[in-house]
Amino acid sequence: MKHDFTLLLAIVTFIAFEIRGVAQESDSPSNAFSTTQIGMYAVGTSEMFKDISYSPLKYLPETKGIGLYFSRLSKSHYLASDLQYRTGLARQPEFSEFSSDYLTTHLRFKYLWRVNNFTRGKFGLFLGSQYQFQFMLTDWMNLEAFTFMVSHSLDLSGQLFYSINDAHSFSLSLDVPTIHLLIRPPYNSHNERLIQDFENNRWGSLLTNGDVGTLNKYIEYDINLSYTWRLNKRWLLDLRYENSYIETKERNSIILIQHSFRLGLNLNL
Amino acid sequence: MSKIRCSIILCLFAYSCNDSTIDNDFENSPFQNFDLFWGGIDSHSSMIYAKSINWDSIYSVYRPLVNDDTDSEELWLIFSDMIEVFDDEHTVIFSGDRAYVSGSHRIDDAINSFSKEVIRDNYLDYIKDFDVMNEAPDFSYGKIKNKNIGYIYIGDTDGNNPSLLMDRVLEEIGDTKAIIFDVRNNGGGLGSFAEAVTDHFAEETRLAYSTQTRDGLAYNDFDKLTEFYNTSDEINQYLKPVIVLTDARSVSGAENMVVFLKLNSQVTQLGDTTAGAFSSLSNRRFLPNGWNYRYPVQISYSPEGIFLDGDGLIPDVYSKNTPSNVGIGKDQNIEDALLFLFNEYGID
Repeated sequence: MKHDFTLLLAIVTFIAFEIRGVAQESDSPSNAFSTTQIGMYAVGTSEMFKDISYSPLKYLPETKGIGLYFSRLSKSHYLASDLQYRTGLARQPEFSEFSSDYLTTHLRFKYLWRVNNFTRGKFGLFLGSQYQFQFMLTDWMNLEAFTFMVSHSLDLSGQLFYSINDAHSFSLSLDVPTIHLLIRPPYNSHNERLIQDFENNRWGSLLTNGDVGTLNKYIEYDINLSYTWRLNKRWLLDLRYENSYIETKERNSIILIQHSFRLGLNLNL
Repeated sequence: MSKIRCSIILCLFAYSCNDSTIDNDFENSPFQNFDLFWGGIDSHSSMIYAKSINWDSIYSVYRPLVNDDTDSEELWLIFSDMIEVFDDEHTVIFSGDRAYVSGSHRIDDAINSFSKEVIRDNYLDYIKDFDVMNEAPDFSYGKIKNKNIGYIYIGDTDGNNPSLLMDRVLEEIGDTKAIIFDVRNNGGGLGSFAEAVTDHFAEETRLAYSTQTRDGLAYNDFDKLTEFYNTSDEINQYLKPVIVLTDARSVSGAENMVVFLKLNSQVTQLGDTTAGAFSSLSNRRFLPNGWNYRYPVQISYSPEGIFLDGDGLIPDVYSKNTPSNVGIGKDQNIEDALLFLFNEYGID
């Protein structure tokens, strides 16, 4: 898996440099603040979590995965969606035999409106909201022990774009959930309803049968710093670091901290 | 550029400051391990209520035995003694490859009193095994030697498409006059598997048992009843005499099968009393010293409202195989089953 990820990163980097080399001369970059992009990326994370419903011990997941990305940035709004899938191992630092399989999926839809006057400078500030779906499953020895977290949230989002020149730009975003639907294991990790939903593939129930709450029950923030290198008129290299923090205020609380690094190649439509 | 620098600094700050947020709150000390172990069972096990255990008294007796110098072996003995009060094979502590099973005093004898090789070599015309990886891990069937009596052995209540597996079994041995359904030395598995393989023997749809899952700190906090029914398979039924063989290591999912089967008038349980560990298990729970443990989280009731966990399912016909019988290639349970079929039904 580690080699696969390294190979994927190498391929993405190689393609990026090839595209850059071939098309450099003929391109005339358009405004970096007005693009529609689709892209694919490789992502790796270093995480920490502690879930009282699972274990009194802390775990250090390391995951690798891929994602699909779409965005549309104009002078008046910013629209983005992002689907990510990662797997890996949640390492228990003291007892390697407790290390657990770890799987996560993340889906985001973001819609933001411009709040500053874009045309007079290189900064663009956007504010708006985001829908976020997260699924996390930790499994030890083929479900001898497991925990999960499913969350649907509606976030307040802000994003700052800065264009150094036509080829290079940065963005910084902050997302904070305001209302959420949180699905967690029942008191004793499972009950008959959960077992029957699972055995009968009732995914609708499994992914929605939870508690609605707000900041009093669920704290999260995501900070995302990205650098985009416009290779030519068509292709962009996207490098991102994301830091997120999740804490639930329930009896079996969970704290999850994530550092995520991703490298992607985007096509400018 | 200063704003970009600020952004990068903000991210680096986030990266550095939240790494220290999660710590192991629990140190690996004898006291901490004891308290987590006792407390985990106290707040989650269903058996404290089902068996009227005075778990507080266990704390009072055993906590004073723990001190800073208590070594791993001493703590293991203390934990083993503590869970013995449950007399329940679902309450177990694990340390690496080592496990201590509560109430397991009858299990060793049951293991040594059973041999699939003896049955295969001395009592069967033939035996077929389902594919271990793709179908079922321990599911075999065949015919008793020189008799028109079928034999089914399920040693693990787990597998894929159990109803289809049983269809295939009955295609081959469905024309027999009786079936010996052997669930001895079965450590358990899935209730859904147990129901699916036994539906073919159901005369009609009946309530088999009900369960409740503990869902709160109080010992008697349980969710609402969930009822489980057998479902008569009207296409591929077997309503001729069935002898279900049990021993002390017929545990959990095996006991589910026995409960489903015994709803029907043509079924007779023969052998030894089952383990009496009926209800579903918890997740494994971890301890800071590297051990883990588990316990039941449910209580189960018969249709008459009697707790199914505890004494085990008592056979209609008591029969005991022994290690010495195994040594001479004899299975007393099967011989008693054949004798019963002849005496009760005239099946030879």
